[in-house]
Amino acid sequence: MLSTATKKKMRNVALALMVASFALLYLGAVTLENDIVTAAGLVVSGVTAVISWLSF
Amino acid sequence: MLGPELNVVNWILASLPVALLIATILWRKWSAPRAGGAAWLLAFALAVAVFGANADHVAIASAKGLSLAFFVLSIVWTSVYMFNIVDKLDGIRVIGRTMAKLADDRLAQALLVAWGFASFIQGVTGFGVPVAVAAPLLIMLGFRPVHAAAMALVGHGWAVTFGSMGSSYYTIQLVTGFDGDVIGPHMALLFAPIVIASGIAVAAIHGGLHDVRRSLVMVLIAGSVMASLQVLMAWLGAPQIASSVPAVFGMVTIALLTHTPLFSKEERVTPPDDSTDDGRAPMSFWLAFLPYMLLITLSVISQIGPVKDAVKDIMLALDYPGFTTAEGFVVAAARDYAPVRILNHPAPLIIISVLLSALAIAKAGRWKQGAAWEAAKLTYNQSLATTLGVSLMVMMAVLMADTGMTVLLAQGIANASGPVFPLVSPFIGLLGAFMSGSNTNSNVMFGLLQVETARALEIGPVTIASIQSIGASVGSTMAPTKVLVAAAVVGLAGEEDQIFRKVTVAVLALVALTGVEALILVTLFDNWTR
Repeated sequence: MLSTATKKKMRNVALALMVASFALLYLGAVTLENDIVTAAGLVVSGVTAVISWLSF
Repeated sequence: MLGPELNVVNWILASLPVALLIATILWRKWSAPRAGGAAWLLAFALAVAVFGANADHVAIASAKGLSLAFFVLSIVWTSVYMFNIVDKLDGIRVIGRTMAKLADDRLAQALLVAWGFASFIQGVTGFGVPVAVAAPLLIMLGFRPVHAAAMALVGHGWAVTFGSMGSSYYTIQLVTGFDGDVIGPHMALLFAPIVIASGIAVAAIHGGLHDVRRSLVMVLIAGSVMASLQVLMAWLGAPQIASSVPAVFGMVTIALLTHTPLFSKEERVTPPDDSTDDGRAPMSFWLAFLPYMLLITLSVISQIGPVKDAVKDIMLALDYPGFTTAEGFVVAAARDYAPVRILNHPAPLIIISVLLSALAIAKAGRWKQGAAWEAAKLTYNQSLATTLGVSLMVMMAVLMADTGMTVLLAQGIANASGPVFPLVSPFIGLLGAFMSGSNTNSNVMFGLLQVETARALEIGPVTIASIQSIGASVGSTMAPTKVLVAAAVVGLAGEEDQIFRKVTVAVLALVALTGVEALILVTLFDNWTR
């Protein structure tokens, strides 16, 4: 079980990752059309979803 | 056929993310970020494994979801901040006290604020602001947070289509191609029972059948005034004020009726005490209400033709490419997707209102050191869960829409319903609004599909187009995005299920009523519905 303090920290991390994922998704799929950046964006989005699941 | 094939297996699979979202929030009591994260992951897996999406499609749809989430969340952040800063300066206490004086009965106050005032704000702004303003006001008046949030949500559902200066109404008109003179009054007339029923729903949430009986005459009279004015505005070709004007007259009617024998007062309300932390006399109502008045004024000014035209290109927006999934579902390229326009979006207007109000409050000597920073910290903490929840849910909704899952869901419902399609049609509107949190988006997604289905079934298309928007209008108030905003502003973030339960019952009843009136119309007055 995660402590309340850990969960609070994780929530802030999830928000930061959400912002990062948007940048990676847009750059990867729209601006650069680069598969690696797109994949990184999707991975970061997935990690954000999992952290959100764990911390809320 | 364009897009995934409509069959039972595909339909069930397409419904899984929504089912997971609803089930986990309602029965497992998961918070929005938790449920939203799980639902997006499931939608991602289904999009790739079943509905022919590749990594680029998922990435584009998810990024579009985040763009749309920013459009919504910027309103949440700024409106919550505005409320917090006014509260830190003791302004909310002053506003609550003044509202309490207008009606000294708790039920009358509930109707005045949740049914009248929230609808007026929806008329001039929308996009979640009605809830962000009305729900905290109800809290100030002493209502329980769950009741405050649920009443503010349900109370303004009738005002969404013609609200936001008619944006959703113009969308359904554009998408379906019906003339405004035809669909406007038609839709307004169909809205009439919903306007009155919304008032009844607010009373029911407040105090069950007892309060429904107590307020019935008041609700019938005020509701009739509001509904008549809505029809009149639509008939006069002024749909952009067909929510705000009726709401103002509704509030006046409620305030007047409160002091007549037509309303039986029960709960005499003692206005909140007017003491302040520093022992000084409280600030004036007008100064406390200044940010909200400025917001309303700026919203109206921003809709004036020359002003609108002058600043229409100043915006924050991104372009997205179109794509076609392996299942043949075509997504058009989107230019200036979910634009945050400088004077045509509530967030910049709220920021301007807050800045101007801060100057006026400081000039009046009522500013408190550190209030702005304290309000910012509070806003961050209050909005964190909402931000992640809305982002993940909208990502899921756009991913479903862009891979053909949402259209498949609607097609399945339409095909299965056959002759009772009018009963089901408003629920399709509700589905779109629930998924996207927006009446406008629902009309874009399903407006044409509904009309085409109606034509195929030889059912009046004007009526079906109207009830698509009515279902979406009322249904948008139970969208997770709006419920989350309501939960955040009443301090129930993480306990959204309590609000969701109350709102769902009322909204489903209102949407069912829409379906029943449409079925009666197309059965008895077939010619009028075409």
